Amino acid sequence: MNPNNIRTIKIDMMARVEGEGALNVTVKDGQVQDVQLRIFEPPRFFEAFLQGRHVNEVPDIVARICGICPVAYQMSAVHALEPIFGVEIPQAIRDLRRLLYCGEWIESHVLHIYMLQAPDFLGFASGLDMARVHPDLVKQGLRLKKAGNQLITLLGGRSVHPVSVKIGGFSQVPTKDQLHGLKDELLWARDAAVKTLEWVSGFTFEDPEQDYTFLALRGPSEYPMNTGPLVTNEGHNLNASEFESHFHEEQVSYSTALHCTFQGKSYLTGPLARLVLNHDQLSPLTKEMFAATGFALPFKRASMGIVARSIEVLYAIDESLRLIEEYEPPEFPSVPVTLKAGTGMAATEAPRGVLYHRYQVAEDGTIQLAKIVPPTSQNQRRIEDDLRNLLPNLMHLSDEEMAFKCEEHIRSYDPCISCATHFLKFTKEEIS
Amino acid sequence: MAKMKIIGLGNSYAGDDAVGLLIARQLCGYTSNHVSIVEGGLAGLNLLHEMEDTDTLILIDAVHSHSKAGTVFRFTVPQDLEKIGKLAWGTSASSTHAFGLAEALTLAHTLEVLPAHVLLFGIELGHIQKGHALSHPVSKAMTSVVNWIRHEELCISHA
Repeated sequence: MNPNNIRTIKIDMMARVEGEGALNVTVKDGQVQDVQLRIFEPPRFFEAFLQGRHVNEVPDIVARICGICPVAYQMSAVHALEPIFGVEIPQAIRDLRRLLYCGEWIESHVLHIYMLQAPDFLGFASGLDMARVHPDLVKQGLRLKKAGNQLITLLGGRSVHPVSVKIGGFSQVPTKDQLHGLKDELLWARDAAVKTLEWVSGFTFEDPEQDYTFLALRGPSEYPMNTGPLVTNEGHNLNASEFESHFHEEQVSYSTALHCTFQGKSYLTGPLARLVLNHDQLSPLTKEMFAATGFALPFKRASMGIVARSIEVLYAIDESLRLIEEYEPPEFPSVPVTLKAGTGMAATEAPRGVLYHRYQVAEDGTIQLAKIVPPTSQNQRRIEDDLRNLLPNLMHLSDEEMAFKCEEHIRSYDPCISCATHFLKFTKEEIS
Repeated sequence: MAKMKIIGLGNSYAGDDAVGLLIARQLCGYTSNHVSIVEGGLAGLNLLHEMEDTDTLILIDAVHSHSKAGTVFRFTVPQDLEKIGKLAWGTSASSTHAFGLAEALTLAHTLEVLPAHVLLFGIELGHIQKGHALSHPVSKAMTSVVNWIRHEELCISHA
């Protein structure tokens, strides 16, 4: 400890967090003075890239924001844009979009469960080290992830940055046979997902309980992905069009990601929030397997995200099987779209939580303004608050151990820092 | 017949980092039926899925090792895994993913899912300026690698 009793812990590169971030913690006389989660990946300019582009290009451009959750960006984009043009999407296309989203939830969650978070619980430095001791477990994880991957490849045209999503529907849709061809693997995956849930439920969750404000979509009659109002556990019920009047983004000097607050406070979006606010919409099998874990809602520990993700993987596979079973190809892969000027907004449930988009479109289809609020920037303030609660318990540790515990904790949120960065609009005022 | 897969990795908008992709595209014109060509972006865990049902895998990626731009490295996997792990690959240096090329290959080796023959061609980067074409030395190296791979492919298919 230095003479001023000030201890500064810096984590400059966080491992196993998608994208790159850093954390600065300042402690004085054993008390936490400051916690700053920093983002130092170069800002991403997508909101600006979109300006001046044609509306038909939007699904392909936004898919490039993230290699892990491109479908989420496409879904929020088309759901924000279609109401401007008064497009009515037939149920069969809605169902295919839901199936595509299931594929992404499976892929993204399984990656985090098996390769990013489980190694922390089992004391391995990386997924690679875990694979040396538990090769069969990792193989099971990879095969499960692939089940999601196959859905995206079939519906999206390719496995990463899918290309078939368009305003009005898809550029092409699968045949019944093509979808039924995935059933056997999904049936295997469903069993593997049950085992995954049993496995992670046996982990030890020791981080302090948090008093979360949870935010998620509330599905009208289904576990939410593409539709539904935004609700909280404090009784709020908002439409996407009200998002920006309740949620405020602000720039902080130490990060290129914007911080989002709800009525001045931090909040949590993502699997923990979805589960609390929509558990009644889970499939019967998922409910049964969740009950068997013995855990009660709400989950108040960030580390339990791994359980919530495992429940959602099981649900997404079960839901995929239902959608495939009931699938009747739509008459046309997409419905005609007549361009109009207007503004549209939508929120959908990305694997990491609520993803809000707003677009302003000119009469000829040119994008005049785009706004994108990803889940990680919404959770960032919450992660900092959470670390402030966690750190007093870690004061007895060495800097190195403390840094590791903080990193582990941040990782449990599954932050996708690469998509949470924004470009700051710079204005300069000179006074004399 | 033995199945071969050729995967070019890289970012087509980042100068010399595109070289793996461009080689894969060039090879499309030459190869035979039992060879599939894949344009990969970042390596990542999907590389493990791509290896399934393949006997021979050829990977091509840009690499940064402080050698002269356009230098071509040829590695055999798993024998050269340690060397591969020490280099900065186009797909791991600035990757936002948890798994770069070296990690994906090491994981595949650990899980014993590597194809029987795996070759990795690394081409030393000159520049990675966004929106710029290949540098001259890397462009020249591209031609040699295309010829080498065509030769490898012929040797393997007639083995």
